[in-house]
Amino acid sequence: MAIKITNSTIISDGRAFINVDNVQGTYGNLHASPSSVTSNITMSNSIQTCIMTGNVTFTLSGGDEGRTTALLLDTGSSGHTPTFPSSILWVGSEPTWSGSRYWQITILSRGTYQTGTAVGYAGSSPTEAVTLGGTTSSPVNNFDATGIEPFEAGWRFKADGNVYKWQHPNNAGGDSETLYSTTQWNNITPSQTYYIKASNYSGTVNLNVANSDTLNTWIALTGTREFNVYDTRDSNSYADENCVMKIEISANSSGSPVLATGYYKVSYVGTA
Amino acid sequence: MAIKIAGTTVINNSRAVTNMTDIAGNYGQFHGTAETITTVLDMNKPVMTRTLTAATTFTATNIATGRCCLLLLNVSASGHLPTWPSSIQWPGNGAEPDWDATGVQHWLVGFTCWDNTTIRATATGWG
Repeated sequence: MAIKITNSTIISDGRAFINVDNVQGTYGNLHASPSSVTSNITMSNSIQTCIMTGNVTFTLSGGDEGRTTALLLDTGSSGHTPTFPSSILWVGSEPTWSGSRYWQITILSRGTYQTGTAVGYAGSSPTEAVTLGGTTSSPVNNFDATGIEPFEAGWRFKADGNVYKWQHPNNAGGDSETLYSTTQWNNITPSQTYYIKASNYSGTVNLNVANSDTLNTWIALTGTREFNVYDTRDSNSYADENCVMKIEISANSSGSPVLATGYYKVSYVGTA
Repeated sequence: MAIKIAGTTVINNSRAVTNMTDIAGNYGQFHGTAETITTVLDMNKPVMTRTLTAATTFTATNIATGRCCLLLLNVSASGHLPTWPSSIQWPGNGAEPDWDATGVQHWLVGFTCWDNTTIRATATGWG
């Protein structure tokens, strides 16, 4: 049976102490229950854990003055970037989150603002590397069979730093979009804006201008950039076809210097 | 007389709260009990104290996610070296503090259990 004081339960049937107005004394084996956080840091929870699987913008709630919470943050092997509310005042300045993988962050609420301290631990995030695959003689291949016309397939370079194959579902065996590599074009979530340029390099057919992002131009890799072959012909009218595209990446919109060059191929079967 | 909930004591005859499942509310003058240890860092003990009289190898027990403890460590004027279990990781590049640094004798070592096997620690030293 619950224990009540003037009709307010202070010890529930589950042996939980609730509605506690004040506690005085000493404690021994007493621990905060850790809770898991996705993006909202609740100041009423003492210990919170978060394993990031992508960049996260955190929010705060329950920030009554005097409350303290510890956030045990794992930015992941890819070094995802956390963004915290501007109401948090950091000791010195906001830490460089890419400097470590694991962070113990303590936040103290002052009501309208919070103070934050952070300690980073080993397991440093990998150094950002921009690379591309394939060579002129051995480009990375995306092979598909023709199906319901038109045939469409290509390569996608996304803002998450990964490279994807694209095969239209109407192709025979077309897999739609599939992840090809998390290490090519960027091994981590990009730390800045990069620029990509695609151009036709060799092959029997060219990239389709209408179904691709702008060719032969440096364009910001801030969204999905895709470069596709689009063939409206009856597959009985042509033999095997292929297109090799040259992909370049730079940190500057001018394209200088080029950080990485790769060659990506689309090949498909014709039955003529 | 102890207070029980469904036959389980929640406040014993010594006024100690036991078997609690949760507590929600505010606290005022509420402190962890400091206990002297020898070589076992017990994550069930909120505040531990130890004065080294020789080089000492510590072990850790009761590691569970979210548990936090403090160790008030005195390496003595002789600067005896502590050795820590591999479950403990140190900030930055993982290098341990310089325990026998000149002029530093007293250390406040904080432990936080990140999971059930890993403890991440901080340490601040004074003379």
